[in-house]
Amino acid sequence: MEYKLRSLKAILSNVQSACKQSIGLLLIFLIFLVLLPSLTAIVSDPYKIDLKQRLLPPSGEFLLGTDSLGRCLFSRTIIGGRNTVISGLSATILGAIIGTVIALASLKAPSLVKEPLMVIIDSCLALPDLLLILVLTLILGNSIFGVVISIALSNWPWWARFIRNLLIVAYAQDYVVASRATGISGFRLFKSYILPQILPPLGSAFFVRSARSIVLFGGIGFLGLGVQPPIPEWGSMIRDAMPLIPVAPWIMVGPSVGFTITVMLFQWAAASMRDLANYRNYTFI
Amino acid sequence: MDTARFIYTSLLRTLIMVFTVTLACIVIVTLIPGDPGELALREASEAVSEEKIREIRQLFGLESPVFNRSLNWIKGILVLDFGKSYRTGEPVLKEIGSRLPFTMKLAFGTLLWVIPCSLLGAWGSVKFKAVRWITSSISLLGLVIPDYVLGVLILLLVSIALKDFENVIPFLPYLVLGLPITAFYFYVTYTVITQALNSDYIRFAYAKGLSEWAIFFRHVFPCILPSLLAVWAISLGRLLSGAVVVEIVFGLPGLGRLFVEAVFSRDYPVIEAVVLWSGWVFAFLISITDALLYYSNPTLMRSHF
Repeated sequence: MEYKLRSLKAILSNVQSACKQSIGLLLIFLIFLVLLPSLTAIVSDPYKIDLKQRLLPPSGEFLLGTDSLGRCLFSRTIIGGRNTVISGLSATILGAIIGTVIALASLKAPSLVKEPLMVIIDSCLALPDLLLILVLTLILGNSIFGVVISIALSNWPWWARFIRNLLIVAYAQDYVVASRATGISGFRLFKSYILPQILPPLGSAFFVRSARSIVLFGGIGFLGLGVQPPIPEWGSMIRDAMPLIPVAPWIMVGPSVGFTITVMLFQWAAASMRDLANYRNYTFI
Repeated sequence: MDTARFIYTSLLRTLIMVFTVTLACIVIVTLIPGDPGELALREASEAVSEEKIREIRQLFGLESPVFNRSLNWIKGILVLDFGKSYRTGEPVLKEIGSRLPFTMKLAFGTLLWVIPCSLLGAWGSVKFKAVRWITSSISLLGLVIPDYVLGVLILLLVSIALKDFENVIPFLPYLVLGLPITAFYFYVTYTVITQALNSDYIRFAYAKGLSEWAIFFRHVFPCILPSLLAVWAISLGRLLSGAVVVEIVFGLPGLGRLFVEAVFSRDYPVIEAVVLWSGWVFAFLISITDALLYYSNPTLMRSHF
């Protein structure tokens, strides 16, 4: 694995051009997801139960039909989407922050702390994330907050490992060694030689992990151990829809399409980050 | 570094990992709030008295302090006694033993079609544009759609499209489980294969007039194997700990479903044993992979240690 020497300015201008396409689209999508629920003209009450209007197919009044309790599926999809996507994103951000702190600690701390830390990171990585999250939700409770913290706690070992490797490789590059020999050190070294190289893989990993966290958040809801009803959330909506598919297949449409579009946008953003780095040697697991 | 020292260090690392996973299990399970005894009673009947709760706690061995309980549990592990399930009263080892064959079948069956398919797909898509178009669209599909959505959708499609869909259903879990893995493998394999094909020794092999077959198996495959082995081992480890979602969607009695059932009813011994199993399997697989890597590419490991 090797980095190319580039300036921060060049990387940022590349990021700008990438922003215009995929990352910009992702941002627009996220902003819409956050703002749409507050537009009461479009979104009706997602909690309103009306048993007279249960299992209606899509129509002008209910754009995606109604579910088994007569609730409007369109508004549930939109509010559920906000819950799912924002939770997944914040879990990733939280996990990345914890992981960065631990990674720095594992690089800079005295070896008495360093070695146990690496062992802990390795053994946390050995446990499958879904199993870990399910057990952690038992401890932290299955509110949105609890699930987000559990996903973040299952995420950090990966981030710690990733950022640690990234920094080790970046600092070992020949031009970094050379620039240190000329007397550059500290923040200036980091800003002009390290940051430009690690920014693209970092961004790409962030998008991939966010997509994964969103899917995991939905997955826990799908298993029935996540956020409890009546709070709408894509995973639990799919769980509710499963037995009703032969009668009312349209219940599936909203959350499935939502998941697909969200993950696609995130993967696309990740791919464009990866392309801009011309950084193909690293596999994101 | 010589072989003996390599074996020592990797054995030591595996042991440490096994030990920490075991410790993590104890910590996690002690942290879970709520009383499993009370929960079990509440599930069974409405009337819950203090006396009954105490009785059932005695039965589960929850009355003794946490430290003693953990110590007893570790002692039990040493003789492969993982305790008794709170839910069924059966020994946990028996419960897991009855579920493991399904998970094993699922894991190996999936990898059996996924690995050749991803290798073939990557090779084909380097060579032919049409194949590349097909493989990249399939892998995009696997990458983008979450497995639970994919499972439900494929079930729906099959039941609509095929008249005798009962014959197809046994194969569907392998397909749904394998598609995202194929997508991931395909991307990894594709990058590694393009790198290998651009190297000078492959160009020389072509110049010698070797057949495609010979070039792939004698020159490309040994070169890409080390980087793929690690990826394969990781997903095998994940698959052996139970494909939770797929087992739930298709109603298969595997380890993943056992785990979810145990989480629902707070069946601590089963939870502990499944987490322990997955951690141990992963630790062993990683060290076996390390050894295989060392064996397949000694120069690579020399620079690492």
